[in-house]
Amino acid sequence: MAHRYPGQRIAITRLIIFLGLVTYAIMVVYPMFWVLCTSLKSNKDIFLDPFGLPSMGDLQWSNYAQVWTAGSFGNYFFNSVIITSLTVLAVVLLSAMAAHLLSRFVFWGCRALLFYFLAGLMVPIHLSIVPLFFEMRALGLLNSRLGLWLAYVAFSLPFAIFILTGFFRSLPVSLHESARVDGAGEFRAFWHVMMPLARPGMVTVAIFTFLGTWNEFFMAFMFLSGEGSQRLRTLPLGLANITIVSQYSSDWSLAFAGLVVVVLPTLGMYLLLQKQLSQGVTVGAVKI
Amino acid sequence: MVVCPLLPPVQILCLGFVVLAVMESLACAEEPNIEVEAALFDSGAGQLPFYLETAREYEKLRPGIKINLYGDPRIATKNRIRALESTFPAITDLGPDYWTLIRNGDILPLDEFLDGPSWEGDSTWRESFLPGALDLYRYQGKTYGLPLPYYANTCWYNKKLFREHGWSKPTTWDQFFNLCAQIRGAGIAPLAFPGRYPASSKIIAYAAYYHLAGPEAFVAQQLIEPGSFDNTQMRQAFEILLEARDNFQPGALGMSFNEVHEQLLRGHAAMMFGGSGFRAQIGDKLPEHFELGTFNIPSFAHSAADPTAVAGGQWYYFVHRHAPHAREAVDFLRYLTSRQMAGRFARATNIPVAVRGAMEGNLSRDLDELVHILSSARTTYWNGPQGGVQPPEMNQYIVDALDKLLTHRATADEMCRQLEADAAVVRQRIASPDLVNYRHVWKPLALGALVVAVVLYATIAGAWRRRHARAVTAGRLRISPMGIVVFGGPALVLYTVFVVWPALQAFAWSTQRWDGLTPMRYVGLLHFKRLLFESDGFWIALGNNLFIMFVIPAFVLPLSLFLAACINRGIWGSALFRVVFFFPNILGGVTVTLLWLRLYSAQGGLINAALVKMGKAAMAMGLEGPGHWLTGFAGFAWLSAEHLYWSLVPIAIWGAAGFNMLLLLAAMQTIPQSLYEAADMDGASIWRQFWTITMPLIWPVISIVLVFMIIAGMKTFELIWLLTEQMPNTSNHVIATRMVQTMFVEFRVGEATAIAVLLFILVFFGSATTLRFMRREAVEF
Repeated sequence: MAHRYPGQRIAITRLIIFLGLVTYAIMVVYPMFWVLCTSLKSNKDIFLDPFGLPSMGDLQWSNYAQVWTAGSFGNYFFNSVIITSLTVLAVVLLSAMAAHLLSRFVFWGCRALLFYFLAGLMVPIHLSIVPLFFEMRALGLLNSRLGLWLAYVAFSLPFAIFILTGFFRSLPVSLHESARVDGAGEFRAFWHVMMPLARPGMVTVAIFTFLGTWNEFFMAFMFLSGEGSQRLRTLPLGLANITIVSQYSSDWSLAFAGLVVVVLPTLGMYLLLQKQLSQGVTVGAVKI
Repeated sequence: MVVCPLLPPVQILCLGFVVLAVMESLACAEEPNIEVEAALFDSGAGQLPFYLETAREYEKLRPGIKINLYGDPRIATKNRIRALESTFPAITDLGPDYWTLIRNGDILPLDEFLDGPSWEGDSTWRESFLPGALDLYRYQGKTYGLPLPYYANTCWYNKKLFREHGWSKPTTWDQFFNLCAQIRGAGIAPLAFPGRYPASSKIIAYAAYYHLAGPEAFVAQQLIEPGSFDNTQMRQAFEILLEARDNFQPGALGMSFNEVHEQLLRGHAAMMFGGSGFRAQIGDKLPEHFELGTFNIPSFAHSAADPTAVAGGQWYYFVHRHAPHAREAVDFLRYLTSRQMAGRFARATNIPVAVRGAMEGNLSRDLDELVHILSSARTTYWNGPQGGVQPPEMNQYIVDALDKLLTHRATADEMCRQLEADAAVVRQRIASPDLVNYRHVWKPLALGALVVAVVLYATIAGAWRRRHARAVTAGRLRISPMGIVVFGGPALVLYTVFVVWPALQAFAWSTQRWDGLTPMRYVGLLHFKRLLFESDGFWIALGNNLFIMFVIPAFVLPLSLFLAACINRGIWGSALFRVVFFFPNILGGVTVTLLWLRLYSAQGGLINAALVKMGKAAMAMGLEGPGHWLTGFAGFAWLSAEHLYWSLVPIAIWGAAGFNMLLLLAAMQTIPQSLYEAADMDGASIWRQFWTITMPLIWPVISIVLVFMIIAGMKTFELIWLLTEQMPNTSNHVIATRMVQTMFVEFRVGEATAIAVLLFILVFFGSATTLRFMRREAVEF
């Protein structure tokens, strides 16, 4: 595309812009680097020289060992993996089915149903948490993974349906119709024809559901706080316990090692799937 | 229609269900005979390991009893939720308003046990505590609270620094301020102060008032009796605070507790006021050669109160009468407060305790001065009056007043008169809870008119569109009712049961008055009237939301557009930039807050350091003006209440630009290259191409981006809540933080849900309006 930039002035502008972008990229990457460095320092070093590099001869790998065993992050990690993966699975599936229904078919109340789901985007979570707590208790779902899972799935649905309905709308009608003409049942047509087509949208939903669930604190805090729930707790609860405690007593080295443990899987997931992310989110958001 | 007999999704859901259910059943343990539940506060200073160890040892001594003990820094919230369903753990120490519970008869009186033997059996249990330690929670002749940790506010100082300069510990405020002048003269900041919590300046103002006006007047002020704020002594007390403020370290108003500790330990400041938990908080981070000392808060040469008085009190445990096995719970507390266990507590946490003979030899040597202050004190004040408690609403007014004083926005005299007026409002609220003072008229009217206008417009436009655009559903198919149930059913059921139904229930609470402890009472629209017509706080919070909704997108959107355009034009490394710019979105809220707290740190933060460096470089190049301006940022308090909202702008840009760039970039990439090539041929500049080709074609995405930002701006919670350390004052609340504070801190459930209803309405109409006004004819190509 260089032909669009004739002349030296434009080359200089381009250099300046490039340097600007590099600066911005450093601002964005530096924090992750800083978190990583800090997690390898001793408490006293963090406190007295927060931005210094860790001394290479004295890297505190023991912070990780400590947070993994004494901080029970091994246990938290396992719980988070289970609950997040099951949530992502259920959300992608249920929202794809609902989005297929809402985008492809016309029936009495179809618009109302769509708006009913979208209204969920506007419900502040802190509003419904207290009645939900009682409901969970009445259903015997408190202090259980099952209850937390159901709540996570339900609260992730509105955004997922929002994105996927738009995405399904952008898919060609003809393929679906020809599958039906060939005698495939409604469900088979969805499963074998529409779902594969909707993959970028579903990956987008998976990423956002993953980010939301993996970092979710408030519901986990509420629903996994009573008796017998210690073994079920997720990473954000563990992390909050060390970082909130840090307000008072500041065991920073553990907190930062914990942060790295929480961030790494998210980073991996994002780098793995990022190619499909932008496509899905844009199509989904615009075609609603 | 043929539906497969075994649907894969149903299989997957069942699988999830079965996996989780099996794990649950494996997790179940056998029930012991007697189980005592204890939910205790843990600040991380070593309380929880101590509690757990004590519980296990107690179980060995009393077979058949199991102590189900857990602790958490946020235990208050959990215990308040338990209060809502009136199933308390047997033992708690933080959360509900204990005075309400005591008056309702929900707390077990302890006198019967206190008059019995202590655990060691060498005295009565009552006599095993320090004098006066049991006094606070006494009501109608009965004792309800059991103390263990002893918290006192004193002044901590750098002993070595004092010795080297020959400074001596002051006992009066005059001596204190003379000392401050000497310290300043030596080039050191006299006082470190955590200005992000204006409430912590209460230590100074309250202590001065106690000694000026005497114990009776102090209690009268706690009970907000008429005349207890607008008086000479209070004015003098505020003057003391203002003089202390003038000795704060530069940037103190933007500092947190951690930073203040750091400043003291690094020798940048000579003194700080703080509680006796300080030594426990710094733990092993005390630098070598640092000597810690402490002296009591200064008083006056002619004090109206006992000069040995300690500004502090004990931390209390309560036993809930209706909890199962309340008497066994008391027996466990007897063990917990035995001399041996209290001594172990002191040793484990380095926090003083209220049990006789338990501190000696168990605290670190640098607390000797503190132990001396505590053991020679004849009385304590601080924790509030006996038999009652200050109304929680008053606290917010006091904190606001302190904030205004500290930031030079009011004089002592103004604040005395203001607080007197506030106290009158609070008294009136207590006397006639259903009265509404109509103070705001135009703002609620404007808001109502906006809502009505949007509804009318949407209805009319909707009807018009229905008549003219039937084609929308033309290409769509019909489906059997069974199909609707199969595809939409599971999502609909889950969403209705776990999202909609609880939200509707919460809405129903908005017409009730309920503190979770006493029965609900129907009050109609009272909460809404009060929020819209009387409360200043609600409108201030809404204003802050509007700032976030409109000022922040004004920065974020152009930058995102710029980044997207650069990458779209294929600048070097654009593939890498695209991936990297999204990074802030994968960090959770806690990480982001921790990071920016450090960056914005007034002393030693990267941002101030960088600005000062740039300023010095500018001065070296002969640019005096900008150089001075930049070096002026040394010690600038970014996170003080005054500057907080503008400080949010960089955080928001950093956090949101990458995500929005991704959306805009994807939209730009759908634009056919041929359009640009044609424009090139016509000689249109890049700038012109951007405005006439790119912008119109990505307009729908821009409007979606804006709606996302407006919804997010309206619902902003975490950032403000964490940056204000969960204690925003009236001027920096947003609506969501106000709701959470009303719900979980002040515990007015009805009013909190009323705020939530208003928030929902605002989000709904805010996003609907934006979408309507942004809608243009879609451009097809």
